[in-house]
Amino acid sequence: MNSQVHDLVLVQELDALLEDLESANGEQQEEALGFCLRDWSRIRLKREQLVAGIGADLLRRYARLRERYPRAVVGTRGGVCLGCNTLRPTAMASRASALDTCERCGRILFRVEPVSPAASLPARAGAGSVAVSEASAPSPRSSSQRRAPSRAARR
Amino acid sequence: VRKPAAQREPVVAVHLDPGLYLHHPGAASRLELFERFGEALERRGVVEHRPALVRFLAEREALGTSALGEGVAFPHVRAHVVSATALAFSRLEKPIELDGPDGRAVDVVLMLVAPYDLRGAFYQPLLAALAELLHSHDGRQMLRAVACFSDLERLLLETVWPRTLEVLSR
Repeated sequence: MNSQVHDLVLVQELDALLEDLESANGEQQEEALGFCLRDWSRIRLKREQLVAGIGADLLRRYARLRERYPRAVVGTRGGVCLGCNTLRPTAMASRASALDTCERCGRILFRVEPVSPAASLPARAGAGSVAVSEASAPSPRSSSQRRAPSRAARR
Repeated sequence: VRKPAAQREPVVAVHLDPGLYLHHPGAASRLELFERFGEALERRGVVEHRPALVRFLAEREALGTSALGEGVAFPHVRAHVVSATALAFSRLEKPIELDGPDGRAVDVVLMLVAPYDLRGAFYQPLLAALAELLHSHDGRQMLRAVACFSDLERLLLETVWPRTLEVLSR
């Protein structure tokens, strides 16, 4: 995988963490749960170090995508973009290029390593895998989704 | 073309299975511990990008320790590279230093990971329920007493899960 995309995946996680902590009650929530957080500057510093090794074009593209989607860099598994769940054209999915992007949503892609069939089986029913219906689930809104609704959501 | 519904993950679920119970994983440092967790979660198809998760866990740990005392740690993160809410447990053969409040090295670790979207909807209530449990001496002893996957399953389903639903209903 392109090493810059590799670093961009971590940048995206750090951005989401910083957004969470900077949100109205992000830090207080953690402290209320008994977890003390030290200075965030370490996270910002780490982000700066990573960003320094990423090309300006890729960063611009990432910033533009982040305005539109909470996840600008997503995986692709079996030729499917895991951001928009669209099956990519075979020719494009199998093409080896420095930067892979989804033809439909434009997200930056990385290839998800395949897992063995045995390992990918869902957990045994009743063996600790707890699944509930959407109706009984809490509100699906996340802080990042609230800040950056997807294009589909805005329509 | 969208994936058929049958091929998609359950919308809201908490993954807990024997593959995420790591007994003596051979980790001698916090980074190796996160690596072992990352490998187990990747084998279960819960992680899309293991190296990023491992590095992110390490950064998150540096921001504030997840050690709670009495040799118990509870790392927890929401991450875009995680595709489902999952709990993983590890009992280490050799305790590792995680700057716990009592200075004791950690040998029992419960990890909670979740994505940011709807699939991570149980993250906050589960985190609240587990934090409440593990901040008490009794709760930490209950986790320390876990000797096999069935014990962990029982603890989570009988003690933590009802509390999670209680938090949800507020």
